[in-house]
Amino acid sequence: MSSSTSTATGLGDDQATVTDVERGALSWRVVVAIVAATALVVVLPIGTSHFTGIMWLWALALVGVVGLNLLVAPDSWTGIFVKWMTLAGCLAFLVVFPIGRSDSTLLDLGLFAVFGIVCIGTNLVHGFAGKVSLAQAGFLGIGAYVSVLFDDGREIAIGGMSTTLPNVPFLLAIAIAGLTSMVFSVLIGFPALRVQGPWLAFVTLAFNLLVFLVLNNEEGLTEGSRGIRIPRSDVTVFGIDLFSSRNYFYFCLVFLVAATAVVWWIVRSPWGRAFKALRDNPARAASLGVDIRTYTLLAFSIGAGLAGVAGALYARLIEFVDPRGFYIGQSFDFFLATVVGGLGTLLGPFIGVSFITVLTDRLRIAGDYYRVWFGLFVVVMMLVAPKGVAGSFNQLRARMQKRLQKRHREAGTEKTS
Amino acid sequence: MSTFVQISFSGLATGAIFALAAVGFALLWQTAGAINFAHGEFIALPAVIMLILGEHRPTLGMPDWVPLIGGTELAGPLPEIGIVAAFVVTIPIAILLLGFVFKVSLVDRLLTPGGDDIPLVIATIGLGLVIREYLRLEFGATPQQFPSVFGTEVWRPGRIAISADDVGILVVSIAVILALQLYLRRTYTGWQMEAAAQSPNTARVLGIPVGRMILYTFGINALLVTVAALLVSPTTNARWDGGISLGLFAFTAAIIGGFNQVRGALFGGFLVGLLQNWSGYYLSSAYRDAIPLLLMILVILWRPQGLFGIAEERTI
Amino acid sequence: MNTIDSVDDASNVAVGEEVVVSVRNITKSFGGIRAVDNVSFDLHKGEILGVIGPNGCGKTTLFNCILGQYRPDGGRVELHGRDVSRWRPHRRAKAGLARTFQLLQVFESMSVRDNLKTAAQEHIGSMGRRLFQRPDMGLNDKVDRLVERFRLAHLADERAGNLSYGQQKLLDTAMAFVSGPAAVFLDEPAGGVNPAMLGDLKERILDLNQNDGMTFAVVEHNMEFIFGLADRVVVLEQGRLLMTGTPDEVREDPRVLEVYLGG
Repeated sequence: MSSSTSTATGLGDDQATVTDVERGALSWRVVVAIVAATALVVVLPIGTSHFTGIMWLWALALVGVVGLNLLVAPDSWTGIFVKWMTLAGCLAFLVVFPIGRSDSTLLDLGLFAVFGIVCIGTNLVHGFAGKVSLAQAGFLGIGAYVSVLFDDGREIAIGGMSTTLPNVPFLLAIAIAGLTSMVFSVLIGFPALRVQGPWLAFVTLAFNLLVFLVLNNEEGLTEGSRGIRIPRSDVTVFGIDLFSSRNYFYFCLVFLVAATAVVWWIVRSPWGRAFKALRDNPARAASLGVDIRTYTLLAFSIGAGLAGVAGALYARLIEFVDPRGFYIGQSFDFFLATVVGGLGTLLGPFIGVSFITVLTDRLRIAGDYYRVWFGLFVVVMMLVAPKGVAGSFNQLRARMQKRLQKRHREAGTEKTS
Repeated sequence: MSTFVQISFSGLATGAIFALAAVGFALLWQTAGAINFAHGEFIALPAVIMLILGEHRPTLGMPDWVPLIGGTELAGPLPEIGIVAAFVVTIPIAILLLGFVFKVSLVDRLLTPGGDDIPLVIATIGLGLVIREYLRLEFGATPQQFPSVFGTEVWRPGRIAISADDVGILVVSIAVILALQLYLRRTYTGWQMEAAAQSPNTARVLGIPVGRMILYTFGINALLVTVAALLVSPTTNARWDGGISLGLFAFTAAIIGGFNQVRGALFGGFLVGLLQNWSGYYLSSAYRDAIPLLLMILVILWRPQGLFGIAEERTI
Repeated sequence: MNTIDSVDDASNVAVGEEVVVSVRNITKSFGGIRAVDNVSFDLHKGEILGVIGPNGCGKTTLFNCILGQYRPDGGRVELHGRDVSRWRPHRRAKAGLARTFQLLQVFESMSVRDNLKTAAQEHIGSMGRRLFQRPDMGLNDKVDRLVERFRLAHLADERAGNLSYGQQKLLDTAMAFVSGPAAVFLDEPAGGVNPAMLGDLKERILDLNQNDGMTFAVVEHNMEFIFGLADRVVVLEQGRLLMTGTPDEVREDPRVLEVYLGG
């Protein structure tokens, strides 16, 4: 394994040994986290057989990360190869798995994809830029309703005025949905500049509740709590009929992959560094020329835009929108999922969203304790492995790397002496 | 005019409950630097416990594996002891669970001095989820009627109607908050607590047991939420998901009034209650919740320390 | 790009000719207490200006006013004759006012290299262009030279949070230089650094000053450190400017003695 080549420590300068802050803190915690996660996701849902797909996906991702990525240096060629193979494997799985599945499994997979997009956005906002957003369900709702309004030449009325919106192609409706969410996020993003941490959480939470109240009460616009039925039967994109559940899942999957690619690109670009600087220490970042206001708004609006796009997809996926789907509880779910998956990691949202997709599925069974377990899991996770599943893996990998290097170095000095 | 008086009066009563919740919330922030996103659930939980203890509702699916609570098999059915007695019994339970256990198991572990407060935020959001879902599963999704301690009488002096419940709520909450203020100002322990809250390091040097003072604050908070549960539940009913909005308005009140001052939270609570009732009547009942939230966003924007708060020096 | 490379250009400029930063009548109060009271001074190109004074005399507040962390109640700050008083901190930084903070401030989760790249990248190109640029932004060579110069080369890929305190302090200082600023404001660079490291730090600063003509303003408690470093010293007392002079003049001035010995 070409592990020692990646990091340029060990130039024989032992005087400057690295102070390992996290020493002795993690291995058993990681084990606990992994065992708990496995128990929660794999063991508890036994009995909902139609939904084993998500479990498999999760297990696959997990095996991919643990088995292959753990032992190789992330920057080495082997590491890069293994990483891409893992990703390709996951993607291939998502492409192949839906073949021959029932509509209800495809619906759950679709939810996985749609909520995945939301959580990827949440992860960018919180995991990379360090801003807590509890309004993602609100942006999801804005996107969903906006896309619905641009369908069928729907007549809307706000206050005393009424107008008929044009019927636009689905792809354009998705784009409008994303952009509208972005506009709203810039409006709510300004408070984000003034407050930090928990206070920002409150502002976004309040905003989410305001969105819910508007959706619930502006009946001329949203039909209120009755909701709007929005069948997928007439939707075609580039001549492909999206009525079929499988086609629609693939359609959502394209967006999921695109969202992952966009965030991956942003995070590895100089913007990614600026976001992390913003997260680690905003005052210092500003003193180095990082325009924290603009970057905060960027992070926020990209996250919200992704949620808006997801909203448009969500509306057509379940073919129905009503305000309850965008209540603050849903925002909590997105937030917790992202945290549990692992903030600031690219794989985290996928792991996290598996949890809440299972939640949605399990919710159909009355008297199910899954959500209680999920909440407990979050609490315990914060206590033992606050970096989330994927974050803990990364830490574990870093530790193993260090150990390997040390062994390598010791072996080297023995030889020379 | 009489309508305005009546609406304002019931607004004050609602506000008094928000004030109780907000004061507890602000106290935790002041002394321990803890922000509890499960604060609303901390009110919903004692309400359900009181119902079980006091009324032994058969409709509340009792968990028979908890002898203390259900205990149908181990201890036989509990006698109906009435809501006041149940309240008295619930207080120590709340202080133990929502005060001591909460502090020791979560806050102490997640809140490192000078560290990030987001882990505790996340954990309490998770805790809120646990309590909510547990209540839904064990005690049912339908809201449970909760008896008022003050009866259902309505007095009609002149053209306005004043309910005994509203009067009782106002009197009790103001009394509780006054008692708390007196305790903090006039007793030695209270003085120690204030000192521990204002500058823990100095307090430590002076030999004040800061840790124990913080623990007392958690106890006081548990007491306040239990009182709030007793007062609010007759109007809202005991609901599994009652905590979400209650908690949010407690935060709203605390933020509007000012977090670092008990009187700020107090003022914020009353203001939120009044605003809700006024906007509910004069603007639109659908948006009665929206006005306080908008005000909170404005306050955070223009006066982050709250209307009554004192600006803290920015640390760089 | 031009400014970025100036760190490495040897450009010796005579001290005391050109004014880089001009501070005029800066005043800042906190709740009725005047933390900084009508302070004015000039920072000349190529000099090291020490700012000293007893605890709580407003040194750090003054820096925060000059660099935009605080908005002063009155007065103005000019950089090369341009009024920057109303600019936000990041804009002043881009214009060439770099700084460190009293408390150590590095981006702990990032590697040493990434810390330096972050410190440099915002000075190059527009924000939109940066999204589509190569992740390293062509800064690798520059960063390599800088870590070499600050003796951090063997730790270049280590997480900044894993470095020792003194090493982080070096990195913190290096981050202020990477963009090739017009003037660098160091807030207590010697604070908490062990004596062995202190000499190293002084050497770095003098090296940058003498070989690159870098301009410094340094707030410091450690008198010995500042007198060995500064060309000129500004003394503050209770927010007011007490005197300005060479280290020798300041050392011998009775007023300064009085302030420090509380006479």
